[in-house]
Order: sequence, then C-alpha cells, then structure tokens
Amino acid sequence: MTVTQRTNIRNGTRTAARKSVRPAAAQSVRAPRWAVFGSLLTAAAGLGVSIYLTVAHYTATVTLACPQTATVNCEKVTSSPQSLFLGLPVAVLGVAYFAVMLLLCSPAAWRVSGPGPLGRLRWLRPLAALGGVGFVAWLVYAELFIINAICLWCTTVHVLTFILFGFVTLGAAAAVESSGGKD
Amino acid sequence: MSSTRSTRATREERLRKAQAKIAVQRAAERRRRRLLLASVSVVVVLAVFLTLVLVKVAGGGSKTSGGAPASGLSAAATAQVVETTTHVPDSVLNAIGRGTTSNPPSSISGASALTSDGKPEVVYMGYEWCPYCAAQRWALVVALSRFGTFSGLGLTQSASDDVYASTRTFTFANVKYSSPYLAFTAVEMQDANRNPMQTPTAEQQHLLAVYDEPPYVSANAAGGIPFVDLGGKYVINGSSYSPQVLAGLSWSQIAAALSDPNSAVAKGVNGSANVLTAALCNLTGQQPSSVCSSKAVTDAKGALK
Repeated sequence: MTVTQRTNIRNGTRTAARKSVRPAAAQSVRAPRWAVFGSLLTAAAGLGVSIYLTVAHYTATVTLACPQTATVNCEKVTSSPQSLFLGLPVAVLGVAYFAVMLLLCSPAAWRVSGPGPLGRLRWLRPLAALGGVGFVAWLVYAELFIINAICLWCTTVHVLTFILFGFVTLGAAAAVESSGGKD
Repeated sequence: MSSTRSTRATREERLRKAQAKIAVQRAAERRRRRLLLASVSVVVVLAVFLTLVLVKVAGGGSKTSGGAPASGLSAAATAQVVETTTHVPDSVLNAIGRGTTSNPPSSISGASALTSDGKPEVVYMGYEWCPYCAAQRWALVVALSRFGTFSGLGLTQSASDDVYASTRTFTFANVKYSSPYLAFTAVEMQDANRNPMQTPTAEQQHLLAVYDEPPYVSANAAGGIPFVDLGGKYVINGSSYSPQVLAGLSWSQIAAALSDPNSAVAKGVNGSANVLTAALCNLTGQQPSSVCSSKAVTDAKGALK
C-alpha cells in the first residue's frame, strides 16, 4: 500500500465516521423533558405574575395583595423610581421578557438545531436567560439597598427568573444531538 | 487480489468503528464539560443573590428610600435607639418641663373632633427629607410613647442639601401605633429624595388645606410641613424646637442624650414632648393619670396656646 492509498483510506474513513456520528441532514437536538417542560411552565408562570404586576401598575382599582411590614412593602417598591427602566415600567419589561422566553422554551424551539437563524435559538435561549438573571440582580440590589423594601410579587418573579435560568442553562448543557429528527 | 480487497475492507470497517467510538466518547466528554459549566453558572448566579441578601442582613451599605445614606446601624443598635427614645425616664421629663420649646401646639376652634376607632386621633403629615419633620418626629415619639406603643419605627435622615442637613431621625413610613387612649396616623408624603411616597387621603388633604393655613397658623408659616393635628383640637405647623440641637449627632447620640436633663437635645426634644403630652392629655380626659398629673405635664401646660 502506498502513502497515497493510506491517506485516501484515512480520508475516506474520517468522512464515514463523521457521517455516522453527525450527519449534516435531518439533525435535531434532544433536550431533557424536565428542561423543556420545566422552562415552559416557569416562563408561563412568570408571564402570569408579570401581567398581574402590569395591571396593578396601570389600574388604580387593583392593589397588589401584599402584606405591609417594615420589610415588605409592595407599593413602596412598585412606585419607586427604580420601578422604571429607560422610562418603561419594569412590570411591562417582565411581560415582554417572559413572552419571549415562553416562545424560546416551547418544545419546538428546544428541538431546533443546525445552521441558519433558527439554529441560533440554541444560544439565544441561555443568553436571554442570563440577561434575565442579570437584570433581576440589579432589581434585588435596588430593593435591598436603595428602596429598602421588598415586594413579594416582584420576588416571585425574581425566583421564577432564576429557576428559568437553571432549566435553560442545564437543559442546553444536557441536550443531546441526534440524527433523524427524533425527539 | 480479492484477498487484498477483503483485508482492506475489514481494516476500514475496524477503523470506522474505532473512530465512531472515539467520536461518541468525545461527544460525551463535551456534554460533561457543558454540564459542569452550566452548573457552575447556576451556582455563581445563586451566590450573587445570596451575597446581596447576606450583606443586607449584616446591615452593610444600606441606603434609605431616597438615596440618602441610611443609619448603617445594626438591627440591635437600631432597636436600642427605639427602646431608649420610647422609654425616657419620668424623672428626666419632670426635670425638663417645657424645656426649649419654641413652637407649641395652637388650639383650633370650630373644628370637628378628629377620631379613629372611637379614640382621639393624632395625624402627622411630613416629608422624609424635611429637617423640621426630622426634629418633630423625636418629640412625637417620646410623647406618644407615654400613651401607647410603637412598632415599625425605622431610621432615616433629612436631606443633605437642605438646612440642618442630614438631621438624624425616625421615619413613620411603616409605623404602627397601639394605644387604649389615642390613635396615630402618619403620612410621609415624600421620601428622602423628594419623590412621592405616601398619598394623604381626601380627609387628610382637607386638614392641610384648612388648618395649615391662616387663621389657624401664621401667614408666614402657611402650608408649612410638618403638620400635626391633635384630635382636631390643636395643630402644630413646623417643628416645636430648633433642629439645630440635633446637628451632627448620630441616632445613638441623640437617643442617649434624651436621658440627660442637662443636654440641649433633652431640653428641645423632651421639652416639646412634654408640651405635646399636655395637649394630648386634654384629648384623653387627662388619662392616663400617671402621665397627665405628672410634674412634666403640669409644668408644660402653660406653654399651650
């Protein structure tokens, strides 16, 4: 066997091995069920609470069901200057964020893979989740050190954002690429 | 020739299997690394949140609602300030009498009695940033503590860019008061940064509109804050003594000075508290008698207008 022949064989087998493990066509990502449904439910819950906070923000007749103590004071938090970000109520930003996350965490979105704009969802989802917890970190700081009061409903949203981050990040890491488009 | 082809095919097959196995192992390794990275990310984010909470619980770097520096006192030190202020010894109050009170309550005639739950009601309306409110809160806390019990008293200070800058005081933003003799309602209308905070009710706005104006207060003090209505019988507009006596003192120093009858703080705060107490005794039918018949109140009665 000549050197050229050996090279050809190696090239040929490499191509064959690549095809058997990662075929270019009909590729999909199989994320764990707990991540798919956990993230979907968490995003839906976050959307629900954010809608409630938004309604309470814009409606004078709706008051947040929230105890008022020295530490817990929803009204103090939701009426503080920190309740606005770039002129927009944080509650509205929450609705927008969780609506987007709900789409990104749908089972179909979790399955998307490969090149192209849709394939970027795989990276967009954890990045959006990271952005979410980053913003929540600022809000928690504002509550604890600037406003000096905690809003229980806001804290619920903060916890949901963190749980969503956990589902999305761990789910993305645990996802397995598979051929044949199986879920 | 045929034998050579067969051998080559077998070798290719073996190579293919070996490389497939290696690829699977590498994929598993990549997945393990991704999981490790993701787990670390989650733990780091959780650690950030826990750090924020722990720093807050430890009492470090806190600020009041408007961005003014907060007390920086631990919960225990804050509780000590509250305890000392709400339990000024009778002997000290008796020794001071009206002290250096300069702006006693003025009686108002023709006003309907202000009550809540069947008890005479004291209404305080002020701003967290206002230095005169800062001074008046000390006297109100000392006086009202003789009739009932406060909870939810927090610490704050007046604006640093106003007269009597950064006067240390309490905030009534979350205060609760229980007493068998009196009801107390406080409205902190703006926070330390002059942002809207608590909104007065229509009835409270009516009190401001009517009784914080001449003839009930002097023309040059019209609309002044703080405004205190004592059961619809007396009003105070402004502070009862000069905030100057509190200048540069910490919460703990002010609280401690309240028990020293020779201190300027005690003469200002306790003297005003005694005059307030005398007015309050007129609302409660001189009850409790242990307070209303004390030397402090008897001496201070003469200051009522």
